[in-house]
Order: sequence, then C-alpha cells, then structure tokens
Amino acid sequence: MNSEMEGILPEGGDDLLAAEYVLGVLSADERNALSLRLRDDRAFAKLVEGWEQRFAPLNDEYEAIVPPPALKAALDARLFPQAQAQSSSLWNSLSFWRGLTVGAFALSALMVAPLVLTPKPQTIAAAPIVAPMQADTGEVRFVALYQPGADEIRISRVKSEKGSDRDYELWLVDDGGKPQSMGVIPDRAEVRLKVKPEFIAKINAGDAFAVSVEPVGGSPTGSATGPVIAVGVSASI
Amino acid sequence: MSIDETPALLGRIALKDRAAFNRLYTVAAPKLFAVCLRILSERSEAEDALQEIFVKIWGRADRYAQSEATAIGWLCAIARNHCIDRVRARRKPAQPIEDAFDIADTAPSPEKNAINSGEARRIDKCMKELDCDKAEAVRAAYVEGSSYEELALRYRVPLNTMRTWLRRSLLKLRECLEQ
Repeated sequence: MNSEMEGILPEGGDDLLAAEYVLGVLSADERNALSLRLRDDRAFAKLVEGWEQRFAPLNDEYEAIVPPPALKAALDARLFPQAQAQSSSLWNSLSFWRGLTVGAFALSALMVAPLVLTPKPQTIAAAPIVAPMQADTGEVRFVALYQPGADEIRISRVKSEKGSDRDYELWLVDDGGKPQSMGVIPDRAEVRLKVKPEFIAKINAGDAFAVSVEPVGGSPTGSATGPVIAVGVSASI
Repeated sequence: MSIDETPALLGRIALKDRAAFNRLYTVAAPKLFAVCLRILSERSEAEDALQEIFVKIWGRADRYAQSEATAIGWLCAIARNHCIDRVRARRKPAQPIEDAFDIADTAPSPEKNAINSGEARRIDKCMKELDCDKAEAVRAAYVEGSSYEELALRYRVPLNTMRTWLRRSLLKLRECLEQ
C-alpha cells in the first residue's frame, strides 16, 4: 500500500486520463480542460471513445424512468420557438429560423420596393406578403413577394449561384409543414412565377418559402432532392 | 428501447427532422432521465438537465456519424458528461461531507443490473478480477458520477490513494478487456 501512496503512476499517460474522464472522477477544472482538448485533439478523442465503449455495458444499470410529460413541451418551446406549428422538415433548421433577422426584412423591403411600385393592375386590397429567403449564413438570397389572391408570385434573386445544369425550385412550407413545389424559378434576377390555383387560397403570411437546387426541370420526386439554399418566413408588409 | 431504430433516428435528426427528434425523445428520454436522476439526485435539476441534453442532441446529432459508438452509448455519454459537469460545478469548492455520503450511499441493488449482452458479461467478468472494493468504486464512479473526493470519503482513504487505486484498477480492466 505504501508504494501506492505516491498517487501518480508513471505508465498510462493520456489513456488513463481518458479513462478518468469517461469514468467521471475528475474535478470541474480538470474536466473543463479536457473537454477543450477533446475539440481538436483527435487522438485523445479516440482514447475517450475507446473507454466509452469499454464502459458502455454499465449503462444497463440506468433503468428507464419516464420523465414528466410537460418536460417535452417545455423542450419544444425552447428549441422551436418560432416554428410551433411546423412539423418536421429539412429546412426547419433552428439555425435557419434564428438567422431570420429584422435586418433581412429591412433589406427585403428595399428589394421589393420597385416591385410594389410597378404592380400589375390589382383590385385586391389585402396587404402583400413578403418572404426574404436566407442562407444559413444569414445572407438573403431570394425575396418572394405575393399579393394575396393573385395568380403570380414575384421572385427577386439577390445573390445565388448554381451550375447551368441545375434549376432553382421554389417551395411553400405551410402550416402542415410539408413542402410543396411551386415550380422552377426561371434563371433571371426578377421573375413572375405563375401560382397554381390550388396555391392561391393557401398562401398566408407566416408561411415559409424555400429554394432548393434541383436537376433541370425541377425535382423528379415532388420533394426537394438537392440542397435547400435559402429559406424564410413570410410576413405582411 | 429499440436499439435498432436509434441510429437511423440520429441520422434524420442531423437533417433537422423533427418527427425523428420526437420519436427519439419517446424512446430514449426515459433512459437518459434515469442517468440524470442517478447522477444529480434532485428531481428538478434532473429535469433541467434532461432538457439541456436533448438540446445538445438536436444540435450535435451530425457528430454521431463520425463516432464508433452505438447510438445508445453515444446518447448516454452525452447525458453522463452533461450531468457530471453539472454536479462538479455545483459541488465545487466546499461540498458538505454528509451530502457526498448521501449520494454515494444510493448504490444500486445488484439484482437490478440488467446484464444481457456478451459485452456486459465481459466487463463484469473483468470487474470480478478486481478487489471487491475497487470494482465497487469503479462502478460507483461510472454509474453515480462520484468524484475522487467523494470516493476517498466513502472508502476512508486519502485522495491520492484513491486515485492510485482507481488508476491501477483501470489498467487492470483495460488489460483484461483486451485479452
């Protein structure tokens, strides 16, 4: 026992440290230092993974206990504050929603001003709705402007690039959460896209619009097959 | 819980699929809540922690693909690390000794251990090769998130001795598991 009183073992090194980290016996300071190290020390991360696997069978000791039902609701409210009505989809990404800023709306107001000032004759009085569609970096790539009841939607391309063997496709994500194709967006800076009759009654402020990059002619499957490059929630202006 | 379905669910969550997230919550939350309760002891704190753990899972599911862990192992590791960090921060400089004993004393009854895989039997076999006290210390550290300080109090040995014990035990375990 006396020889063990030293408290330090010469052998082991990082692998023992990894074991202690996984076991959980270290102090707050030691753990903090190691979690920082784990971020970019791949070799050390491997050692930690190895010990996680060795000890994983001990997880059987945690016997399932159902958490109170209210907890999931609180979790959803925390994770998806602006998208309560939306169901699952690729572009309901939290970073997309978070990235949707007041600034984007201000920019889109500038973008759509010329569109609003030169309207086709319209007798419908409802306020137009606008949707600035952003990349996950926050950069506005497209702006959609729609006059409720109209049979066309105007799209401004602010900034975006695609290959010539690809098309942009516009999607409406309404309350149901399932994206529906509104068609391929012609490759020009400003376009008017025909809105099919079934969409006219459907589009409301608060719906999300998204643009994906698809094979020429649009998605062959009816769902987005290429990357969603821009997404945004519409609002009345 | 169904172990088979969780890897696919994590893959879908990496694509921000909320239906998959809801399903994962249903199948995995009870297990992870058990981890929280065991390590944190206090119910309201365990509930907070479980929320934070699922926030992490939502944000980090893409990293599961790069890991070699089983899906449930990966989820338990997130939960354990979160709870242990939390409990260490809480107990930082002066944790009353009585509290440490209270927590250490909530050891599981052995019959509760569900041992159902070859892997589990293997680590159990290797744990048996350790002295009884030492195996128990390793198990308590892992399952309850005990710190070296708490273990030293529990086994009434100096901190450094505890650390030496445990490190030697870990080396023996590694050797045995790699045979």
